[in-house]
Amino acid sequence: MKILSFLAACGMVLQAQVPFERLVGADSEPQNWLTYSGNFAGHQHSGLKQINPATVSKLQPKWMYQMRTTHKGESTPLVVDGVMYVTRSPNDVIALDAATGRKLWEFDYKLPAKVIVCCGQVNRGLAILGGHVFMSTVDAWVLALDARSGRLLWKTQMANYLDGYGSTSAPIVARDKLIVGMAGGEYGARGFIDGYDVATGKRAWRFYTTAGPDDPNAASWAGDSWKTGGATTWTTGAYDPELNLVYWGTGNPGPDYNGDVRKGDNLYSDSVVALDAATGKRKWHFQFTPHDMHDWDSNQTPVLFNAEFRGRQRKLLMQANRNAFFYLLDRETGEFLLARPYEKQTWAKEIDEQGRPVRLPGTLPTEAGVAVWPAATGGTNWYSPSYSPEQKLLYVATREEGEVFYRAAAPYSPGNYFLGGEHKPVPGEFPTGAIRAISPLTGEIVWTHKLLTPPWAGVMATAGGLVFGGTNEGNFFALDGATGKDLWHFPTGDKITANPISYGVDGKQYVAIVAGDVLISFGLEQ
Amino acid sequence: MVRGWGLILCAGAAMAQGQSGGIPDLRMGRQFYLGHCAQCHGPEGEGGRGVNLTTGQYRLSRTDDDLLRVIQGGVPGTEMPPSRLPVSDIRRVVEYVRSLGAAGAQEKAAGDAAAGAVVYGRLGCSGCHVVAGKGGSLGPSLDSIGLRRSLKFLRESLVTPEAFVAKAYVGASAVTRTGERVTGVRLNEDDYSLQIRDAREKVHSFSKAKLETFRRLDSSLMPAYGKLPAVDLENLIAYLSSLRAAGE
Ligand code: HEC
Ligand code: HEC
Repeated sequence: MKILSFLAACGMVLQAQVPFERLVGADSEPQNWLTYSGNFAGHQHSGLKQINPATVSKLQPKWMYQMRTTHKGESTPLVVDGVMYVTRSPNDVIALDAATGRKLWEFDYKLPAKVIVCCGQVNRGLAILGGHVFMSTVDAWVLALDARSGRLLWKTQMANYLDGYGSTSAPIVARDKLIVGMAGGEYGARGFIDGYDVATGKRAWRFYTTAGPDDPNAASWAGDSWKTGGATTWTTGAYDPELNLVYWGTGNPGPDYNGDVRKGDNLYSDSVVALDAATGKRKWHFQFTPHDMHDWDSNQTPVLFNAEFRGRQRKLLMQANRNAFFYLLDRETGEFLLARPYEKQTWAKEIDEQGRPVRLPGTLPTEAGVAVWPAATGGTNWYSPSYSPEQKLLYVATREEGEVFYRAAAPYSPGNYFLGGEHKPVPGEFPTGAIRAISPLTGEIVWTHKLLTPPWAGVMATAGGLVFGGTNEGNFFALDGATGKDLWHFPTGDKITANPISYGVDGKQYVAIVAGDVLISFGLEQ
Repeated sequence: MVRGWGLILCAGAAMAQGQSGGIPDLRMGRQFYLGHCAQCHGPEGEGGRGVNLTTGQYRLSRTDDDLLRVIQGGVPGTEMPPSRLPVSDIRRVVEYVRSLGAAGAQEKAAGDAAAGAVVYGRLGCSGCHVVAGKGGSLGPSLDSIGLRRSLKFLRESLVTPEAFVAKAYVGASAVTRTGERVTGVRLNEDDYSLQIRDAREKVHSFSKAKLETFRRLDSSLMPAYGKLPAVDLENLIAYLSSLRAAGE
């Protein structure tokens, strides 16, 4: 804790200067949470150890911040030198004293009267660089605020929200570029990932995630279907500063449940794409679910790590995909290394040696309905997994739930649902959930902690040896990272639909989570 | 805005046409009906958890447009769900619902409602159900049951109550470390605790860690009345069907 208190003492409230080098070295200052995932590698992991299996029974709320919004709380805060930056859905930004929860400034953003989003007017977080705090909005703008005051510095429009475009995820900074994803996959939007100049907000590049005529994979879409093909990019990706590659997950092809109007593999839907951060040029892609008809977006934040695999030291990327399989890829080349189911699935016989699923017959949606596991919401969803370098385990909040998938017509009109079907609960099923610990180099499940219902909250592992997570019933809990043993919980009183983080101020470790619309910060009883 | 309209409509029509591939609307409508509606309204529209659709009479709808609105938006506060099907397909369903209604069947119970009310009192149904403000609360209120449910469903509720148990009335059973067993409606549950209302309407809250066992019941907490004399059963169904208090 020595380093921690030293740094905290030097930290000057509201003088946040976060040069790019600090973001790259985020793991070396665990008292801060500098990017959406805590580091660029998507680890969603804290290096702090004060709260651990021996002390966690003394964990208690230290402060709460009532957001007083009727929108869902899905935000992951950032913490820089004692100041917490958090979004309040839809698109307000609040800076708080991270030790007391007292507000320092607030930026209010007014949305137009009629914005179009499938799943709630939410925002999931921010990025920071230098003295700028960045946010993208539900009505498809990118904003930069002054970290000291919340004053608006620049504002750039991404796309027209009236056509179903929006943005709900946290951006990330890759050197001098702000990388931003977008949403609208249920409305026939055409997916893209943007790179903006951090200083001016000018767009430097755009990579379209549906392959148009100028893309070598254009043949993967029948006719003009790429124009309304979805493949949106609505969850934050990961970044490798050495390779200068951004790894971003892409969403389902549109229309969701009827593939007739979009014959082909529909690249780059349900994929991870590796883009050169300077130019937006695609280095490689890997598609998890070709020609998807179950809404299995692959937006889950990719997790980067290095290890020896089959006798060779490699740069790796893993993802527990919404289609219920865990995947391991080489992140320099995109080479498929292995896949293994981590949750109940009834749609694929196996994943073949090229990484393509071998579909089971009778699993595609029909007018009369077909029950398939996982549900459209998947074996997991947008909320973050967590990688512990100490345990060498990937922790994932998983969903054991099937659904009946229906097919229907898919007429397109801008700003309206473009689904081509529906999905409904399997009669008589009581869906459940779990936290699972997966061994990254084999995909084996090392332990499972069952949950009553399929969760909507992410997990965070700590160097102290804990895994934090949340339930639909409102319990914020801590498990033993090595065994999955349930060690502590606190009933917050509302459904938890966000990722936990950890930070330190004055030598004291905190764990924070948004539960419902309340931000709660926990610390040890003194 | 206006400028775009012609284009939008054309694109929509072209794509929608590509879908149905020449299958007549009524047959498509039946396909959708079987997939989306039959589990509640019965495969032939005879009713179930949802109302009988073979009568051609609807509580909230008269015109096809009314039906379209109800099917699209559902009936808030009841089990009738909204639908995300595109309007073009909902029209097919409306057409099919109309064809079911053309049967003009009578949804009229065979028994005698007044005699059924006596059976209701004799069997102690009010121990668990409220009618007109009187009775117990272990089971749901029956005030407007005749509006919400088909005759087929009412019969099933009495003969095989476990065939359908609404989520709010799922049973749970817990056994404490001292061997005490508590069975009742599962009022609430999370990963750590379980709340049960027992048959005497006493509420229990258990910490799961301190229980010997606990489980959710597949059966219903309501006794089965299949062995009732046929007349009594028919009269009881007629009585339930006559309970049509509005405003629920
Ligand atoms: C989960 C069960 C359920 C499903 C599925 C369901 N319904 Fe219903 N439906 C009901 C119930 C219950 C009612 C009675 C609502 C009330 O209290 O008025 C109802 C009422 C209706 C009515 C009467 C409306 C009126 O104007 O009074 C129609 C027509 C109807 N449903 C059609 C459909 C169609 C068509 C579908 C499929 C697209 C469908 N329902 C799916 C349960 C269901
Ligand atoms: C011990 C308590 C108990 C008694 C006695 C009882 N019920 Fe029930 N009843 C329930 C419970 C609990 C439910 C909900 C679970 C279910 O649907 O099976 C229910 C459900 C019902 C339903 C279905 C309601 C709906 O809309 O889903 C009907 C109808 C009904 N009861 C009628 C009766 C009648 C008539 C009697 C007397 C002959 C009776 N019950 C006696 C507890 C009871």
